[in-house]
This record gives sequence, structure tokens and C-alpha cells, in this order.
Amino acid sequence: MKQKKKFIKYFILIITSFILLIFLFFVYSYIQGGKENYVPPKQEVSSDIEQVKSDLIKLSSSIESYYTINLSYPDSLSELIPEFIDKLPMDPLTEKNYNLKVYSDTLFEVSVIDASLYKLKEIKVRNGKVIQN
Amino acid sequence: MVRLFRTDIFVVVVYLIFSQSFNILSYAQDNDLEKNISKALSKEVHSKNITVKVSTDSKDTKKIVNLIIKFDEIKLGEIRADFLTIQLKQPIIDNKLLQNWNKFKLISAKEKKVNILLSINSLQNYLLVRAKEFGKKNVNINLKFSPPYIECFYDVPKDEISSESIGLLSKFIPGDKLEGYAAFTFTIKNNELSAHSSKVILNHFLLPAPLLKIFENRFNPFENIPTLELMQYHINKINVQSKYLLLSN
Repeated sequence: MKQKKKFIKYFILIITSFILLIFLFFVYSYIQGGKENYVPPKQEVSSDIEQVKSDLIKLSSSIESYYTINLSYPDSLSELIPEFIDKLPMDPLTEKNYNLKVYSDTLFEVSVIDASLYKLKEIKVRNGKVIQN
Repeated sequence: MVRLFRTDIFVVVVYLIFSQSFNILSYAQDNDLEKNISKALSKEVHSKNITVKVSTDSKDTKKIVNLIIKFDEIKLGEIRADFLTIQLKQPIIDNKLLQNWNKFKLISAKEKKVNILLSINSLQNYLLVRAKEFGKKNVNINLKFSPPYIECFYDVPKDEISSESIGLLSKFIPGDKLEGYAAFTFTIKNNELSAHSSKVILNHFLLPAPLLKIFENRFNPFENIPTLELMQYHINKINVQSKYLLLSN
């Protein structure tokens, strides 16, 4: 009899906690669902080098878009604003703009000014491909 | 001495005239080719404007080194893309077909690069067309590019949603409409587009990640991006930018 009571006690406790959990989930979900939360999730970048890669890829694809419309590459990165990029990303270590080099009608690359700051020989994106040595 | 000097000048002048006229001839040929390709493509492709740039080999003017074709407001299936640019390195095109029948046929190319730009308006119009195709009339969807996400603000009557989706979402739909917000990223492989939801708010409720995963697995890939058959390419990259969605091969 005692054991049965104990079992019922535990059973009720488990059910109550389960209902409470579901309730808390719905409360949390409701609080997070307000119009003030209509914003995209924040992107977390793990390291400076990851930030650089992400920036260079972003710039590279903006340059591709520029080419798609103008059939030539831009002379400088600032020409990408505002049509293709809102603002130019900065090298996280030097806080300077990245470098753009246009070699021909079909070849360009964007790179950091000084790759040695990242203990690398070079880090760049050439025609959309990341090159890191 | 003076005579020799004059002969030299004569040779140089003759050379210059010939080389210049050869260049002019080459440019004229490039121009004709550009016009012919543009004319042939305009018969087969629905586009507001077609720009063709040809560069030929300086030694062999019949050999095309680079062929760049840009289409403005091109229709790809139901999508009206703002721009589509194709870069072809060392392309071989069917010249006989082009000259005799005014038709463009690409036989091969060493490298092919395709970029397609879609603006918010194009994408929104496309969504409306697709919604109408499925018989959904009161779908209200507003999109916003927030790289790397596409944000979507929606207001859709409950009746317009499939019973399968309603089943999964029933706990979050107390009323008769679905209203809220979603942030998506996209991937594309062989022209098949998949959406990955990073955040979905439905009727004031933030949907849990496992539920979003069920939707992703069930409905992806959700769309096949139409291509320009003449050029034979596969879209494998997608990139969200501040004003455009860039699709490339």
C-alpha cells in the first residue's frame, strides 16, 4: 500500500513536471515570438581568420554580381556600394579595407593587405575560390 | 642615305596601314559575329536586351577566345531574372547554323561561367505566380534580403495551407490564419533549390528547431530553377546579397 502511494506520488510528480515543462516551452516560445523578434539570427564567427574568409567570399560574390551587370570588374571595392554590398567589410586585425586586384577581363582576386598577421603566406579569394597558404 | 631612310619610312607606314586595317577588319568581323549571335538568341530567348561580346584570336579570327552574353530581364520558366550573364572560354559554336539559319548552337566550351541575378521584385513576383499556379489567392508574402538570410513576412489564410502542414502546425494555429516571420538560408544543387529555416515565428510562437527539421526533410528540395537550355549548365551556388540573389554554376 505504501509502495503504491509512493508510486502514485512519483507518477504525479513526473506528470506535473512534464506538463510544467511543456507550459514553460510554450511560454518561452510565445515570448520569443513577438514582433520585436522579427530579426534574423545573429551570426557568430569563431575566429579572425574565419571572419576574413567570410568577408572575402562576400566581396567576391558582390564583384561577380557587379560583373554580371557591367561586364567588367570594378576598379575599386567602393564601387560595389550600395548596389551590391551595404558597406565594405574591414580586415578584423588591421581594420583596413581588403585589397582588390583585377588581372584581366576574366580574372580578379580579393585579399588581405598583410597575410603574415594571420601567420599565413597568403589568404585570398580568386574568382570565387579561397586560397590559403 | 636619305633614300634608304625614305624606304624605311615607307615600309613602316605600309606596315602600320596594313596592321590597322587588319585590326579594323578583325573588329568588324567580331562586330558582325556579335550581331549575328544576338539576333539568333533573340529569336529563341525572351529577353529585353541581349549584349554579346566576342574576342577572337589575333592570329585566327575565326577562333573565339571569349564569348560573353548578357541577358537583361530574361524569362526562365516562370522566373523573370533581372540579369543573366554567361562567360564562355574558347567556345565552339555551330557557325553554319548561325550563318545559314540564324540559329545559335553551342557545341562546347573550355569553361562556362553563369551568373543569374534576381532582385526582390523578381523573386516576389515569382512567388505570386507559383502561389496562383497552386490556386492560392490570398497569400501575402513580403521578402527582404539580409545576407546571408532571406527574411519572409507572411500572412496566409489557414485554408491555403496543405492539410499535411496543418497537421504538423496545429498547436500553433489557434485562429484562421498563419501570420509571422521566417529567416531562411538556401542551398542549391543541380538546379534544385532547398530552404533551411534558421528562425520561424508562427502566430506569435517561435517554432522549435526539431519541427523545422521535419519540414526541411519533408519538403526539400522544394523548387527546380529553370535554366537556359541553349547553354546547358547547372546552378550549384546561391548567394544572398543586399539587393540581389546571385545564382551561379
